[in-house]
Amino acid sequence: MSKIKTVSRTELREKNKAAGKKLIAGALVYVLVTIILAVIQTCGFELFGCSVALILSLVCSVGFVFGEKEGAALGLFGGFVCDCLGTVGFSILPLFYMLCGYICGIMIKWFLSRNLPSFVIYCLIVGILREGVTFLYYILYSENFSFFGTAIKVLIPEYFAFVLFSPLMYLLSVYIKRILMRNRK
Amino acid sequence: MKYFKNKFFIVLFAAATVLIIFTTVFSAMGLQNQLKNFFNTLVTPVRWCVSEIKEAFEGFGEYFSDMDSLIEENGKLKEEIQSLEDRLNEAIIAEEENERLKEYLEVKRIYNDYKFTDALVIGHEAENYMTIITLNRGTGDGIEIGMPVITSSGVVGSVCEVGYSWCKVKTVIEASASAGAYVSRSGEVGIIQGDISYKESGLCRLEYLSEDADVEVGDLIYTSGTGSVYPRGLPIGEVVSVGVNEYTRTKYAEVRVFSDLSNLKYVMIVTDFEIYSEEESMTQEN
Repeated sequence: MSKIKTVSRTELREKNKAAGKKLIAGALVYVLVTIILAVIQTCGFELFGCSVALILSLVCSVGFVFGEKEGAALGLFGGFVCDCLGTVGFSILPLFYMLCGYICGIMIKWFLSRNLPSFVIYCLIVGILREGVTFLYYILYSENFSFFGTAIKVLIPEYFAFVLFSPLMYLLSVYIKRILMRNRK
Repeated sequence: MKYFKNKFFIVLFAAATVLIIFTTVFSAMGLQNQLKNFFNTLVTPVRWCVSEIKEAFEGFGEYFSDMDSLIEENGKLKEEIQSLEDRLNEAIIAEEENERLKEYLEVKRIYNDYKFTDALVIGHEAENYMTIITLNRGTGDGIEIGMPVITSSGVVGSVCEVGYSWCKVKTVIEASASAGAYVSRSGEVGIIQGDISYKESGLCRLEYLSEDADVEVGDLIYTSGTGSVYPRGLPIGEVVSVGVNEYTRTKYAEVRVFSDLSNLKYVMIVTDFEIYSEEESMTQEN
């Protein structure tokens, strides 16, 4: 007969409290990281002559590493922060980022495995969606819109910059998760 | 589809929608900037830190990114310096030639009935005042021993030795040099001679003046043409002092030569003047 370990209510309460504290600590860490990355993104950090979508890659990595709920929550917050700190007005970024984070978490359960190559594949798809949103934005707001000009100067460099930075965010999220899991144990 | 129907997703989706509506209403009310300012003020310390780090990295990066342009600019500047140095050298040569030609024209202007050959001083005895100088003209240029050498200021000396492309000139301050001279003011006649004791001072002596010769400090001395070495009327120098020879009881005058013998560069060799022509015509008649 297998031994069933019994836990008293007090112990359970203590464990839940500790878990809750770790959750709050993890959330605060990610809030801080999101703010820092949002500031870096809006502070003129450029790669290939265009800004890098650091928040989006962070949101995707959180959804990939922690799960769909965490990814969605961070996506909502990250999108809102990007709108506040960006030069363009408020947009649908919170909703878009939230969906990216949530779907990323679901992808793990459907057909992707939790590793770096899978994450990069997911980012390749998300990157295309993101550039689609940027493309729509340029159509709506740009006075002298040119498809090829926009593609060569903005869309393609942004896409490659996003895909190049995504592995870094994945590794960051893996590292943070290990620290949080270690403390839980 | 169950993942899009669960409670958490619906709540979050609704929250995102409400947020978008909220911010859109804010923007429509013109309060967008207030909201943005509030969040920007909150993150100002973080923004400051990130900017400082960014500037440090940019400076570091510029050190390498500017290296190529600096190397290129350095190369261009070196070429420009070399080109300017070449032009400067050409200008110096042109300036020297200009000086030489000016000297030549001046002498020609003063002595327009003489024939000259210009010459460059290429050597001299290593002393302050040159007593023997070497010029870059010789028999190949028609130079002969005894020809006078002058500058626009006055007499320098006469040719004492000559080769094919060089000649040596004994200056008037040389101890063994002598020439007939006269005082322009009074017409007193004497002999200009160099003196070993005057070698360092650049003076010569007007000797064999009579005891009561009218010579004063400041008088100008010219060649008299006696001895057929120098034509008459070439300026030699200025009297700086007058004395009496205690042995011969004759007057003498110390003369400072007009030509700057300490700084000779270009001179003129008189190849033909009246005395030569007169002697030749006398020879022909005989």
